[in-house]
Amino acid sequence: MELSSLAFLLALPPASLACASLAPHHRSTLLLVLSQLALLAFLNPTVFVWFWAVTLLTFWLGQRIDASSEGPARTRTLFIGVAVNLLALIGARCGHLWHEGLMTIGVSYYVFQAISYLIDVYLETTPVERNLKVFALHLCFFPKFLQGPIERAGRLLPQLRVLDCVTPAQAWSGAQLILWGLFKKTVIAGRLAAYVDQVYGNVHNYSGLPLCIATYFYAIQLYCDFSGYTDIAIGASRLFGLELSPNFRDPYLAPSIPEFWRRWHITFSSWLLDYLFKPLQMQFRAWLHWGNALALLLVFTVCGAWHGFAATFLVWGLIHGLYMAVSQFSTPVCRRLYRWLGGENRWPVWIGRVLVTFHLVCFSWIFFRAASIEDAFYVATHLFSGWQLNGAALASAILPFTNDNTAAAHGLVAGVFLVVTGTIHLLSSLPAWRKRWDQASRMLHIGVGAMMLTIILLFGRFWSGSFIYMQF
Amino acid sequence: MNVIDELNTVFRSVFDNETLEVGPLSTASDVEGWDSLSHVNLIMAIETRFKIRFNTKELLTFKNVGDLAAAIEKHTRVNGA
Repeated sequence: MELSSLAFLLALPPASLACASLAPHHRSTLLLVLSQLALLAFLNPTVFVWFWAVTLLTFWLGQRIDASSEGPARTRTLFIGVAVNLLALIGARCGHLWHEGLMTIGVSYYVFQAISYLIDVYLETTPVERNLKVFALHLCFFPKFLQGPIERAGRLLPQLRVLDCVTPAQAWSGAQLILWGLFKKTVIAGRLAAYVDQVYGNVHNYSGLPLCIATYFYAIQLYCDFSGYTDIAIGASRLFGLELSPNFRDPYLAPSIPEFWRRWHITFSSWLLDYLFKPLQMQFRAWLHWGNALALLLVFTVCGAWHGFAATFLVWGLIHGLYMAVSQFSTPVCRRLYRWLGGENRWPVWIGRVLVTFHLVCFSWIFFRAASIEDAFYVATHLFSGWQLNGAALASAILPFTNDNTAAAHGLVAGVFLVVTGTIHLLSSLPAWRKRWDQASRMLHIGVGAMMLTIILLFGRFWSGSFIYMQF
Repeated sequence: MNVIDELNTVFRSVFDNETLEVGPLSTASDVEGWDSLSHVNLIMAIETRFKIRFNTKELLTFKNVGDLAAAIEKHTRVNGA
């Protein structure tokens, strides 16, 4: 079951109402835990067993860490907890390679949350959780179970301990976010996926313009797919009175690669920053910038491997590691250049920086999307070959949408909704417009919501496949 | 000179800003240029100035300048004892 599936969306309102009617919180927590566990067992019994093994062990080790005083025994318990969780993750990934049925969806997300909980208890930055029901719900809450956001115990556990009735304002903003997420997933990502899959599935049949278009489209498809999921997850959580962490903040408007990583998959990148980069950085601190560069290369290699044990993901991770490592040394030079051009926030300079960053990111997505490393190198080396800017070339560049005479219509619909989405994104990032929308009448909100639902039903592609990040 | 005053000298030198003023409640968001990458320069400068070495747990739990100052005082007390 996915968050964009009809069954999930239809089950949300009654589940939310049942929870609200069962307040005070201890009963609604129990109901939520039982429903999430039943869902997991229904989805896949392997997931259910895997989940309980990780949950019970992490819960028990958390108590042990908290009970032991400062010293080697406490550190040893932490290492055992982290190692067991990592083994569970690697086991699940390898098991999937050996046998399709052993796939344990969501495992990397709850394992990351379990590891961060143990480290936070060890560092005493979060109190230990003594209620198994609340702890299990922290790991298995379904909207974030399949592909994040990766929640920190310090942020979610306090909300779960005082789970209360959802307010009408929360429910309304949750419903709006779900609609916006569905729009991005089904109307934009789904439509662009048809083009991207056609080109990236047969890269050797294309060169030049279609490869460029497919690469730009994939950048937008991935963003709309993943941020669409996150919007649905955050919106669905609001229906239960819970606020999950944001995962995206206009990443393609980032003016540098380090800034991109502060805006893309925020909960994952901040997890890597806090639990992997900082310890490595401090171990290598005597080497100053070189130590930073080495730590960044290692962290992004792990980041690539987390997405899958394939050469394409490793190269993608290495490319970002190199971008980040180089930015260590290039930042002072760039600052001098921006000063010479009139300041880094002067709009022509800012637009230039955003465009350069976006294209660097797009180049890396080639390796993330390609089916093999050979395909990726083919795309990277044929982006600019065979370019012709005439009517026939442009017409044939639209063809991959459907490969028949409806391709132009598909291209037109995709183009119109891309402009609409881009405009909404830009306006919502302006505080004045954001405030205007928040203060607009309820009728206007309902009208826009109804229009969006109509667009989703008319133009959405519900058969375009799973959310991309579910596989990770 | 107390620890906070000495820390101000280190901060001004690391972030190349002679007018910079930090207090116990100052955090990374209050100091321009203090990000996760420049943090390592700051830690190295502090360790050199006070002739101490922070442990990993301390390095991962500093939340503000006050935490830094408390850890420095603890280490200098131990070194002086």
